[in-house]
Amino acid sequence: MTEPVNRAASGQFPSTGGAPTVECRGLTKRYGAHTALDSVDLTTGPGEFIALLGPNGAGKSTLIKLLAGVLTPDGGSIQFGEGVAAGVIHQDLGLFDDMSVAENLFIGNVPSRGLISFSEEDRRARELLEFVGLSEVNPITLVRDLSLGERALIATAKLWSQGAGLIIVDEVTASLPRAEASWLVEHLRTAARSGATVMMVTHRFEDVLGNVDRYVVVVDGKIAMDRADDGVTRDYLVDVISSGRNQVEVGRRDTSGRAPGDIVVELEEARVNKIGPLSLTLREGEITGVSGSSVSGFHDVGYLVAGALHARQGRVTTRRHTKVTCLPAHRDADGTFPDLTVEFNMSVGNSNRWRRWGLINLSKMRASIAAAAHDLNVIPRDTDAVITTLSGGNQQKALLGRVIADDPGCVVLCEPTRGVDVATRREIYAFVRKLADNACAVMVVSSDMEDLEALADRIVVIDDNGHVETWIEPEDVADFCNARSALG
Amino acid sequence: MTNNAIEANHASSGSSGSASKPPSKRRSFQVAGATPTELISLFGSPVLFLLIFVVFYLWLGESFYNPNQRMLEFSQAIPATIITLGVVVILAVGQFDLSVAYNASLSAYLVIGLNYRNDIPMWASILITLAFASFVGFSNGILVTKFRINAFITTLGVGGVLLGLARVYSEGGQGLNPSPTDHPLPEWFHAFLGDFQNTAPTPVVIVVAVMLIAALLHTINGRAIPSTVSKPIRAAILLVIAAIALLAVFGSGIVNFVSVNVVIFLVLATLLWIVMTYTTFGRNLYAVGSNPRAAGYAGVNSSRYTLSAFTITGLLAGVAGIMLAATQQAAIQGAADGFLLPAYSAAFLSTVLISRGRFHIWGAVIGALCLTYVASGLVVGGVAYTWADVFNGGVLIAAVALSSVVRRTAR
Repeated sequence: MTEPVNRAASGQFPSTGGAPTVECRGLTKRYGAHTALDSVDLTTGPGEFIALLGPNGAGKSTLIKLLAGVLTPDGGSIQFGEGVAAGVIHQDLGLFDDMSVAENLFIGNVPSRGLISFSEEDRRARELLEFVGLSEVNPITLVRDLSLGERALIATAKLWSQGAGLIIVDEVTASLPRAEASWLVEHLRTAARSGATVMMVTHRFEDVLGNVDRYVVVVDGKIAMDRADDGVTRDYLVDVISSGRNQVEVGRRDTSGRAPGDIVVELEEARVNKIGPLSLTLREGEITGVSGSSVSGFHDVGYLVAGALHARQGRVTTRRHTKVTCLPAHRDADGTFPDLTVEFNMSVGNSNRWRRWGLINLSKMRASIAAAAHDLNVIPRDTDAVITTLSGGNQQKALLGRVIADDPGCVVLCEPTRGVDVATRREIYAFVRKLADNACAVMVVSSDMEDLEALADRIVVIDDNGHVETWIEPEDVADFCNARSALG
Repeated sequence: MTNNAIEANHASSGSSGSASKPPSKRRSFQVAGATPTELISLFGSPVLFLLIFVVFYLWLGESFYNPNQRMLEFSQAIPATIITLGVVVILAVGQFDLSVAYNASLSAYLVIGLNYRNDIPMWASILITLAFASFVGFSNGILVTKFRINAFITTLGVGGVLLGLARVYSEGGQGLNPSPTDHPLPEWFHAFLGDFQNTAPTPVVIVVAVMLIAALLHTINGRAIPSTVSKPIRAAILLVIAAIALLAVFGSGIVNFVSVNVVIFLVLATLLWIVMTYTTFGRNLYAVGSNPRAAGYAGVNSSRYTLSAFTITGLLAGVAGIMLAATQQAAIQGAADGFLLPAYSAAFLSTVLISRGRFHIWGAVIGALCLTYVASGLVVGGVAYTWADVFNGGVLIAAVALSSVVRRTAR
């Protein structure tokens, strides 16, 4: 099964002497007409520490889901090594905060039969903590008393104890401050050296650069680069990653020589959660970008403007008789009404538009929503389809339709292209620009630099502490976005 | 039928969408645009109930299809069915209310107690009772939205408090029996709200019946039949249902037996249906029930709608209590306590009867009637009436199981 040919073909991982933990050949996954993953070959060995990189929507998460068995491939094969399983650690980690480290490690996997032997559990827990380099942590500590980085390592150890030879760490560092992220990466490497294959998925190059054994870059559903860490530089990675990005025409809006529009929303020294104090004005026809690290929770800026959050201090003033709507960042948790139709999803918050004498004219509403869905190119055309049967991109377009249905004076779009393919991304950009051209005040809050580069007239950058780091003026937006595009 | 046939259906129905389902979801075998599982989950329970009533007809004949007797049962079922309507509202917003039945019991006692003991005129007594019942619902809502106590715990506790209050107020469960010589109840109270023999004028009944059948067909057309079903088949289904409904209403001669309280109940249900379907308020209730977080981001205040839903549920429990008191013409402690289970059974039945996976007013009314009549049919056939709760509990489980299948096939 382990023909040398495959190994040679798959890149140069350090010879650790073990059989491959996983071997993918010709792995393909399609969503309708869109090919998310196109004939990918990937082989990993035990003890390897791999960085899986790539722009949004390139197919990383599809690859992870295929490896984890959440999705089934449309073509190709995945062959795990003997006794190897894959486990994924997501941002929420899946730990029980009110239980001890040892209890968390052995949930569903208690080491003794019958009565639980605490001494045995303690011994096994210490072994596992050693594996991730956390020997200073006492197994009886409650998980809620640990730092985020330590919790991520507990989750790693848990997967290892459950027999996961391939551990995928998905964007866990994104919510960590830089120092803690690099501490976590060091420890993950320890875990890899103890025999696991650790695959880290991240947008932040700093976290992995020079710390991993091998880089795998996915662009547009294909492996664009698969190389050992032999002096790979940051610039080189940026080049490879951005190679597929030229497909999106990122022509900038020409806003020069246009008089500033009326002020629609104004923030004065506003504070909420970690954000603030923040002062800014949103004007008609202007697209304001907001960028920052997820540590600060910079989406809260958008929710503050939209009124979904209320300022703890300071003031948020909205022009009178102006409707502000919001596309939330997390589509599944905060955006869709999962068991209801596309029509219902698009009508929520807007149905007064079709109201007469207190009653909604349902047939009129149906017709105009169907027309809006058609304009937005939502597939399928049938607005009676339950929204969760649509692809992510089409769900996103339907939600965009909801946001703009009632002619709002201000629109806040958080992560408008998250989990969306290139073609849809282009449609969304064109749509948002048209919105601004029709005198709507638009705010785009995104961790995706491509969004900001394509849309924003100016950008406010929020630092890790929630303060304003800097304002990027129109002429500098392109340079700023290029420089930051890899940071996530 | 093959997939080709379905595309042909599409073409003939003039629907523009070529792909009404995501292409990744291949469907091998379909009848009229729906898979067998879908068909069973959509039409399984209505057809099952229909079969039961056909069996009753063959088995029991006139002794079951006796309009006078069935109208008595309808009239008796009104309080429980109004509680069901409240349950539909609270389930639509994604919450639970276990205190409804106790609220109704206390209201039933209160409305007569105020009149009998304190000599408060009946109309004022009714208003006070409605205010009290709504306040109970409002308190449930405050505890759930402001104090963030789980709805189960809250309403279980509040239900316990109400049960206790009813015992205190009734001095340990003593009944109050107004009579012509002892604090008589006003005549209209029983005649309009509780007397099944006080029949409404036939023209009124015919108008109400025709309107209801139209509303039913409209709902089934919009909510129960998948949009993939082609036009002729859709029309055929609707025609069959219309024929059955018309036959049931006019063929049975029941129009001459419909009492005033039944008409009042039907009007109440109609108003509630309009609120739930045709107003922003009603749609927002369903939105909050589906995903309260998303509702918040879409500008719908989840807490406010949850609070309103609890209040409406309380108010309806009060209405149920008053109509129960009017039927009994006496204050009996704990009179509505047993309505909790049938109310939830009927509310969950509504998700599988005429509307796919959604709690629906007409579905609940039909569900409640089916439950009542199946139980009474069994009694007529010789089964002891004490089996009714066993039957209700079984239906509750079956309805929930079936509705989760419906939701799954919808995904």
